[in-house]
Formats: sequence, C-alpha cells, structure tokens
Amino acid sequence: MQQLAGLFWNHTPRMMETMRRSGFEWPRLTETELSDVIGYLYYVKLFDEPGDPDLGERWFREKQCMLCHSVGGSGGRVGPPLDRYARYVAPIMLAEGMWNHGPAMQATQRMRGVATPTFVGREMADIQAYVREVSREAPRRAVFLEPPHPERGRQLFRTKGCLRCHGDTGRGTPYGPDLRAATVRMRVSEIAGVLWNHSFEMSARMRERGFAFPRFGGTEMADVIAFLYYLRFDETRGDSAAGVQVFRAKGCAGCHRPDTGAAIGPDLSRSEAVTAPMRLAAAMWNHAPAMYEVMRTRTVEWPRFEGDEMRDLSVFLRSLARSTAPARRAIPRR
Amino acid sequence: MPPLAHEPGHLGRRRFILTLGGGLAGLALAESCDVRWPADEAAGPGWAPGLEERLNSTCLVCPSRCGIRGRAVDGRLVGIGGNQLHPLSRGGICPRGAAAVQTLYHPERLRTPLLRVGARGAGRWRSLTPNGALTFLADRLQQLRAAGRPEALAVLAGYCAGSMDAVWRQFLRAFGSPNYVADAYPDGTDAIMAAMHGIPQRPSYDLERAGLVLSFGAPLFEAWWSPLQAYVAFGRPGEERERHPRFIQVDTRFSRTAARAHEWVAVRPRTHAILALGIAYVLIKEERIDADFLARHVAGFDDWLDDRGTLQPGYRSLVLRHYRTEEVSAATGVPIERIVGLAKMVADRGPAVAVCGADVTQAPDGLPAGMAVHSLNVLTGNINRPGGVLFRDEPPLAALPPAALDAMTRRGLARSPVALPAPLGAPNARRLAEEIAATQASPVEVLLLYYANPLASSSDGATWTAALSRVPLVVSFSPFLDETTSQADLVIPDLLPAERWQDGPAPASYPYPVWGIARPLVTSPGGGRSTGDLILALAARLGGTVGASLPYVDFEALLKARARGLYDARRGMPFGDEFETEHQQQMQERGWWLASAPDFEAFWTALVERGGWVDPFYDHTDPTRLARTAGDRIELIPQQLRRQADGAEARDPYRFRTDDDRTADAFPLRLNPYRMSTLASGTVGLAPWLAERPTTFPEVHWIPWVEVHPMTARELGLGDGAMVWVVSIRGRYLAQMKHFAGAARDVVNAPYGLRHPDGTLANPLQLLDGATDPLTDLASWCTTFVRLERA
Repeated sequence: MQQLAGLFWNHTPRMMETMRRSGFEWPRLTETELSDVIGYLYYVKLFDEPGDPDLGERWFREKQCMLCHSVGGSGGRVGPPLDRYARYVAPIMLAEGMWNHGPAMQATQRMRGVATPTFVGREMADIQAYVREVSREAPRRAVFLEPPHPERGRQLFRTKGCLRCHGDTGRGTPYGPDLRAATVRMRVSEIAGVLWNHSFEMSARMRERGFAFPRFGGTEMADVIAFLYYLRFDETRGDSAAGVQVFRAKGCAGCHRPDTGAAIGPDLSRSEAVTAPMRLAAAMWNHAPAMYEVMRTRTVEWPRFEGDEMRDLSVFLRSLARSTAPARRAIPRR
Repeated sequence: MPPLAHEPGHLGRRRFILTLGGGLAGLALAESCDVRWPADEAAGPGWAPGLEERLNSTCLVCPSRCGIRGRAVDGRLVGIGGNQLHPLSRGGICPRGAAAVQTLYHPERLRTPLLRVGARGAGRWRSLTPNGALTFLADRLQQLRAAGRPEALAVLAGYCAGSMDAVWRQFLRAFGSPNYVADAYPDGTDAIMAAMHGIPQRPSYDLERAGLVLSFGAPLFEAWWSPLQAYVAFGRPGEERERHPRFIQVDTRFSRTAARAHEWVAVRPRTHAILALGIAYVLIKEERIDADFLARHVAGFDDWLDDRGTLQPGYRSLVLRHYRTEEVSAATGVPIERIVGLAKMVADRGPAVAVCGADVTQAPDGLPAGMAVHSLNVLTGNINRPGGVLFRDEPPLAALPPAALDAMTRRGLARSPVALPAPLGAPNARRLAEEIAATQASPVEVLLLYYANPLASSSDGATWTAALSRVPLVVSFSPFLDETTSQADLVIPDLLPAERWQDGPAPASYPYPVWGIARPLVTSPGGGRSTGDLILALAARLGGTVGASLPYVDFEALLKARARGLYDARRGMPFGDEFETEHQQQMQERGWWLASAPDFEAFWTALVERGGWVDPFYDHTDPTRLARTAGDRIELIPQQLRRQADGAEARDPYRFRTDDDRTADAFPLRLNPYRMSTLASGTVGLAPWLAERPTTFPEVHWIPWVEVHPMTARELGLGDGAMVWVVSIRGRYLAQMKHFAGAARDVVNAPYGLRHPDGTLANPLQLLDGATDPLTDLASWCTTFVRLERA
C-alpha cells in the first residue's frame, strides 16, 4: 500500500502540471480517502490484462503442453482437450484445473520422460488467450467469475491445510517459505504460475508429512491467491535506519531539518501527520503543490520513492514521533 | 370559505406565476418595492409549489433508442434531454427525440378508441371505451377461431421496439397464425452477413476504435441506425477531431453526412460497389491485404475446382480481371489517384471499417453490391477485431414461456404465410399487400397495423389501397389519424412513449448489448392503454392457448420478468457513468464480473432508475462470430448465392450494371430519394419545430423540395425556387426545386418525409419504378427516372 503511495508521490509533479493545464483544482484527500483510492488501485492491479495469444501458442508448444493436450482439434490425446476452458476469460480456472490434476500430470510426465513445465510472468495468461482463440467450443458464452475475496482465501488457507507449512499468516515455517516475498508485485495468473511451479515439491513434502494434496473447487484458488496478494497490503514493518537514509538522500531534511538556517517545512517529529503511514501520505499529497513551488524556486529535484523507501521513511518518522511523545524530540541534525 | 377560482382578487396559479414574473421585473426596476404574498393569501387549499420530477427513460421515436431524461412539472412533461448514463448516446439527443414533447401534446392526438360508422375513409367515427374496443376486437378474433381460420389474422408491424416484437410473435403463434410481417427499417445488411458469414444478423461497427471509417452512402449523421453513435465516434462539433477516426463519405450527393466527414468522395449513382472493388484491386495488387486472415478464415478468394473439376474463378481473379483502376475511374467518376489514395489509406490507417448504406443495398443488385463493400472488411481481416465489423450478442433477456398450442393453433401455423420471404429476405409489407390484393376473397380477414402506415410510406400505395379494401376488418393502433389509419375500421390508439412501459434495445450498429427501458414519464391525462397492455389484456380475454402464452398482468410485469434473465446472466450492469462502465468493461475483459445489486429487486430498481442495462464486453476470440457457414469460413463467393442464381451471375456476383433504362427523353433525370434524420418517418407534421431545423438549405422550411444541380436546372430552364411537378411513369408530386451544387448532374435528390403546409405528403417513394432486388426483395431506390415539369 505504501509502495503505491510512493508511486502516487512520484507522479505528483506531472499530475499537477496536467491538472493546472486542464483548469482542475488540486484535490485534497483525507487519510481515509487516500486509503480508499490506494486500496482500490491495489485491488485492480490484482487482475491480469488479457494475454497474448501468439505468445500463448509459443508457450503451449515450447512447454510441450501440446504433447498431451489438444485445443482447436490439434494436439495430443493423453490429457483432456482444453477447449472447454475457452469459456473463461481469466486464466485462473485453467490454473486451478492444472493444480488439481498436478500430481497425476507430473507422474505422467515423469513416466513419459517429459520435463514438467514451469511458468513465469504472464505465460499462463498468454496460454489462456491462445486457448480462447483457437478453441472450437461453440456456442461460446463467456463465463465471468466473481472477483476473488481475500478473506475467503484466508479461511481456505486454513481449511486446505496450507498453514501447516506456511504458517497462519503465510509468513513461513521451517516446512515452507514466507509467501509474502514469493508473491510480491504479482497478479493472479503470475501467482498461479508460482504455485504450479512449486506444486510438485509441495505435493512431495505433503506426502512425506502424511497430508493430502489440497484441491480447489469453484473459484477457491483465486480466493487463496487474493489472500496471498494481500499479505503485504498492510505491511507496516520497515527499517527505521534505512528510513533515516531515505530522509536525507531524498532531500527531505533540507526543508524539514536543515543543517544550517531555519527550516522551511514543519518539524516532522512534532507533526501528527507522521503517526500513521496513510496519514503521512495524505499530508504529503495535500501539501504537494506548496512543496512543488518551494522546490521549483529552490531548484531542488522532486524526490522519488522506489521499492520500500516510502515504508521505511514512514517507519523512521513514526519512531521519531513515538520517541518525542509527549515532549517530542527534534530530528537529529547530521 | 376559500375564494373560488373566478372570484376577483383570487390569483389562479397560472396568473400567479405571470404576476410573480411581472412583480420580479418590477422589483428589478424599483428595488424599493416590497412584495409580500403569503401563501395562504395567494391560493386556496390544494395549492402547492410545482412538483418537478426528472426520470430516465429510453427514446422510442427511432431505432437509435437513445437514453433520455424527461422533466415533468406537476405531471406535465416540459422537456426531454439526454440520459448521461446511456452508454450509446451519453447524454446526447437528436431533434426528433426532443420534439417528442410536441407529439405528446399534439392537438390531433387520438385519446379514445374509434369505430368507423360511415364508409371507409369518410372520416365518420364513434368513440368506444377502452373496454368496449377490447371486447369488439376479442369477439372478432373469437369468431375467426370459431370458424377455424386463425391464420386469417395478420399483423403488420412497421416499427416494433424491444419486447413488442416478441409479444406479437407469441400472440400470433398461440392464436394460430403464421402471418406476422415486421417490416421495420430493412437495409439488407443482414442478408449480406447471412450470405457471406452464415450469420443472418445486422453487423455492428466499432466506430470508436476504428482508425478509418469508409462509408459507402451510409447516412451516419442522418437517418442511420444511430446518428448519436456517429457523433460519439467522430466527435461532437467543436471537439478535437484528431482524436477520432478519419471519416470518408462516398456519396452521390453532398449530404449532411458528407459535410461532417473529413473527405467527401463524389461518385456517380449506382457505382459505390465498383469503387469498393476498385479499392480492392489496389489492395490486392499491392499485397496490402491480410493474407493470414484470408488463409485461415476465408473461402473463395483464390480460384478453386468445383465438383465437376472445372476451375472456378475466385474473388481475386474476378477483381483483377474487371476492376482495373482506369476502368473503375471511368465508371465512378473518381480520379485514379484518388482511388489509389483511398486504398492506401485503408491499408495504412487501420483498423479500417467499410460501412454500406441504403444507397448501395436498395438496388436491383443491392445484395452483391453490399457484399462488394463488405469484402473490403474481409480483405483487411477487420472482422471481429477492435475497430472492425462485429456480431454482437443480444441482451440475455428471459424468454417468454413456450407458446401453448392446441390442434387448431397447429393447423393454422401449418398453413403457408400470406407473404413469403425472398431467398435472403424477410416477409415484407409489399408482398403482403400484393397477396391480399390479388384475390377477391382476402386470405386476411383481420389486419392489425402496429406503427405501420403503408399508404404513406410504401412505394406501392395503389396496391395497398386495393389490399385494404379487401380486408374485412382493419385495426390500427396509431395514436394519430394518419393516411392508413383513416382507412381503418377500428382505431385503438397506443399511448405515446412518454406514457408507457416498453423496452428499447440499442440498434445492431452498436457493438455491445444494451437494453433500454422506456417508462412512463407522465400519466396520460385521458387515460387510455398502451398497445402492449392491450395485447396482454386481449390474450387474457381470449384465454386458452393465447392467454396461457402471455401470462402477464401488464407490460411492466412482462419487462420485469424478462429482466430476470439479465440478472441471472452474471454479466453486464445497470447503466452507470463512464467510470463505472469502463471499470466493469475492464474487469470483464479480464474475466471477472462485478455484481451491481444484492438481489433481483434491487437490480430491477437500478435498471429503472438508471434507464437500462449494458454489457460492455465483446468476445473477439469467439470463432462463431466470424463465420457459421458450412465450412466455418467467410465466403467471398457465397454458396448460398450460387444456389439462388444461375450461370454467370452465380459464378461472378461482382458484376454490376450502371446503364439503367431511362425512358428516352421523357424521363431524363435519375430520382435519388433520401432520408433525413428529422424527417425519416414523416413525423414532421406532428412536431412542427422539426420543420425549422437546419437542412440542406437553411432558408427552406415548411415546403417539400428537391435538389438539382444548377447546370442541369439551367438546361431545363428552371430557376432556383421554382415549383415543379416531379413526374415518373408511376405518378407525380409537387415540390420546390432548389439549385444545389452538391447534387450530381442529371439527378434529382428528393428528401423523403416532407409534407406540404396542408398536410399532403410529398412522397418520392410513390414514384419508384417497382424494381426490387430479387434476393432480398428490397425496393430499388435508385433506378427510377423522372422529369421536372413547371407547376
């Protein structure tokens, strides 16, 4: 969420110029409103854009799917034809079908000496687009799925036994990795690809531990993926020391705590704005036009936040606010 | 005791408003004036401030069916604007839609059912109560059933919006008659798609996402399926035109559409198809066609061996053989470099979409001519692609229940329809009239006319006059005593669209299914009943198979029942603003659907309040939207056509005559009738302000006119503004002749739908020569020759 807030901030000068040209007023946002807007953007980024059927054809061939499966009348007959998946626009149902049949497929692949394919990036979405383009399913009536629900996914994560290896919050146990890192900046089909890639190892480990391999019905897999996607949404833990570096490197200190002379901006250690991540982001948004003017006149480059920098900055500023309460301490000079 | 309305000192409401207006004016002049009118002094009990209500609905005036927003004050409709939420019209509305207020309050509107008491056409009527009219009609229909002749009931529907079409079909089927003729705006494009794609439906055009729109005589900004769709695609006046597709109009006259285009390509009459194939020639020669698409999805491009082993020429050979650029230029009058330039633009500015209009299809060879235009879309592979020609779904409404059938119903339905369709056409009004008029004992005993006025709108008024004289009972549902209704025996006037429940799906030209709901904006002051409600009540009165087949209390209940299908489809949404619609579209394009309502009741409420439903998704990957022919390929030389035609015509459908017979010097000018957006259905007499709308000639209003090139007029010795008789072998009519440099030489452009101040229709269609396309049965509008005689 804070990463998105950082992206918002990075584009602020361009937005301001565009809005000025269009005669729009700079909108002021409360903490809640900004949270809602960012929450919405975070949510929509979950959904894949349709894949590229030409690339899909290539992946279908190169990953040797066609040795076992047919679509559009051509391909192998070992596995079932994939034409019926053409009714789905989203690749998740294909991914779920693969997951459910994963152990059997992988056994057959071993038997036939065929390498188990792995998927990265948007390859799964591309294959789905290819299946839709060449499928002979007729009449065709697109089936749309109800958007996945992270809370349902959380419950499924428990009931399907995923927590036994990955922990209650997906942060990993000695038996399975922390899923937050494995799914960062991924969308549904990409996370589905990651799950598939590890399914063979997962099923082996589960067999060792005497657990049944979980299978999904309906849109359950999508729900679980949404749960995984949201693992990092409210991530507020960060590196305060890295935040200090961000504060200085991005030039924040130049206005809010200069080495010499009077501060132009307010003392952030005494500001309510830094006490919560979104409060900080909203304050930055609302003061952006004023900051922009000051920075223009002082020919300071607009700071950009990459990766976790915004989060670390927020952690650092929050730590200052905590440490100065009730008599808040000023930000240390260099 | 409160003062009575007529007592001195009491201000009636209207007078109060006028007085208040005057008072405010006085206040402006003398600021010190102190006006105090406590309400209890100004009016008696029952007086209340004007109650204003704004409701979304759907315009049913023309097939565009735009979203409207009515403004009513105290139950009177005072204005109609656009519904911003409607996905097609997006708040826009045309003059005809706005003029519906005038029609609603027109003094000549019929408020009660009328039964003829004198001779037909004598204008002597007796009023009936709505229930009396229902009983009268039900009795007559019962008599038909009692006589074992249910098939003697026929319905002619001229404009049947939404579920009314399904209701008529269901009614007739359950009654036992195969005689339903829906002759509403045929343009032949469905026949083109049936022949080439095996998909008998009108195509949609993704104008907004096209790079280039090449219109062959399609009046996109006038009387096309949806002028509002064109305005949205190409931009309203004043909008940046560079952001929109390039638009080229190929037309025989400088129409208002041509004036709105980036370029006007003037062609000689009846040469649109030749120009299209001339463009195809360049595309093929320069290898600017989509070879991959042709190889995968198209049949008939290359030569092939038939069943007897004979080599048959394919489209490529035919075009290269007959449509060399020099020859095309000579035939069409379009310079060679312009033809080449058009072809390059088609290739370079894709996706390019070719649209054909009635100028092309309403000709003796209209179907192949339309195929020639559409072949450009095939060559460029621009079918089922964004910015191309699409075949959209219909809204997934719940179907009416299966019609109940008894033995008599089955017998009636087994009889041959009175009007048989042409090979690639539908049953039409002309055939119905010819069959009825052909015998003394009419095969139709009861004829129901629903928004059909064939005496005014058809090209064969005399046949219709004869046909009507043979039908024992003619019933019209028109709210006005139009030409045909005047000849009816019983008139049961429909309510006007602003007073009734109905539905209005968007026209086929729009790529997404849209189901607009028309709801009452006001209550009809004279009571009355909509035709939809009447038919449902008639079904209930008749009972038996008919009653069981239409088990709805009223039309609102029917619409609500049908909306259940939309709710259950789990796709689409009630109309929303641009953000909501775009959001839903993007989600569906990714495979997910956002539910809009927790239950059906909330869904229905949202539909009614917002004006309708849209599914902003199109499945470009669905192969069944490309072709449903026997070989699952688009056929450039359609097998269906080969079965219908003989000899050379079957082998080469792409040969066109331009040397139409003109009767020597007696009729030296070609008649070119055309429709205008404001006049298309001849309603100008009902909404007088339409007569003052801008036309080709800003200064000409309230009088029918024809357009002639100034040089042609000079040769005829006719000055600008002269009154003339336009004369063909079939008849004549009076019009003012206007010099118009945008007319082709030796052509008379004649707008259709104008009336003289005394109400007489000036109808160029009644001059037509009677030629038709044998494959579609569409009347030819471009092969009639006339002369002008000074009046």
